[in-house]
Amino acid sequence: MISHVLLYITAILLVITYIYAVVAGNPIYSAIAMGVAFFLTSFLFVLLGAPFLAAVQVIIYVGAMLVMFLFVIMMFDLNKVSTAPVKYKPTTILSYLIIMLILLVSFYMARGVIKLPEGFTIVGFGSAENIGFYLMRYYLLPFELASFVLLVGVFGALTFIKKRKKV
Amino acid sequence: MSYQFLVILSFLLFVTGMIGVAMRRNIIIVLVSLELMLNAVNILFVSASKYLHTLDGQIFVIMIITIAAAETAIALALVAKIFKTIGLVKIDDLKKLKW
Repeated sequence: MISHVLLYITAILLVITYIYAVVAGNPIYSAIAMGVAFFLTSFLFVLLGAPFLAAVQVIIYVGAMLVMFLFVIMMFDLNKVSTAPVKYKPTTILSYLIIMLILLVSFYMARGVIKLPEGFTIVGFGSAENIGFYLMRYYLLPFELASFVLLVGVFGALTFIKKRKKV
Repeated sequence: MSYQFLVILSFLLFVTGMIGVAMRRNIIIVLVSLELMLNAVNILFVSASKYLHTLDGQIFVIMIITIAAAETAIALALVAKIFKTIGLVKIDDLKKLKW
């Protein structure tokens, strides 16, 4: 029952975040909203019995892709960076407290003090073990092709960004 | 949580991303919307995987994430190159193929 409520809340938050990411005026706000949407999606994946994909989602989308977007955006707007001193608004303190709370709860969950509710599991269906078995057993060729696609992506990006020699 | 609900949710998210691709003129926001569209498809795949009790959908999500990562790297390299060349990141300024 608790996972149903959490799923509906996550769905509403996802829709709001998506709309904000699309209508935001500043590209930085749009990229940050994209990161929040990816975090919410990873939470949805946990609720839908895909814990491994949730971890992959956070590592690749938030850890690599969002950082890449922010790098490119900040490269463009270097002269628009404000030098005003940082003001500690209530939202700053609130976000600090929320992150602290999340870290504490995950620490005590790892210690086993707080029990995971029904529906949250990292074993069985959708675990890293099962995904790895499927990937190596039935999807070996697509897996290798994916690695090749990544290699081509690296070369493509390097070729675009490289300075051309004057002939 | 019915399957129908999740399908409608992912349709809604996909259409939101599509509106972003079609309406926004800032190239970065267009790329963000493209990623959001791919993410909506991921949600659909994972929910189908849950309700069909097979892992195939989750494997497809791994493939989609790989393709999205490669696509973003190339697209952002292109954006950086365009910005270096003409100094703008608005799509309307890219009407000329030759600059």
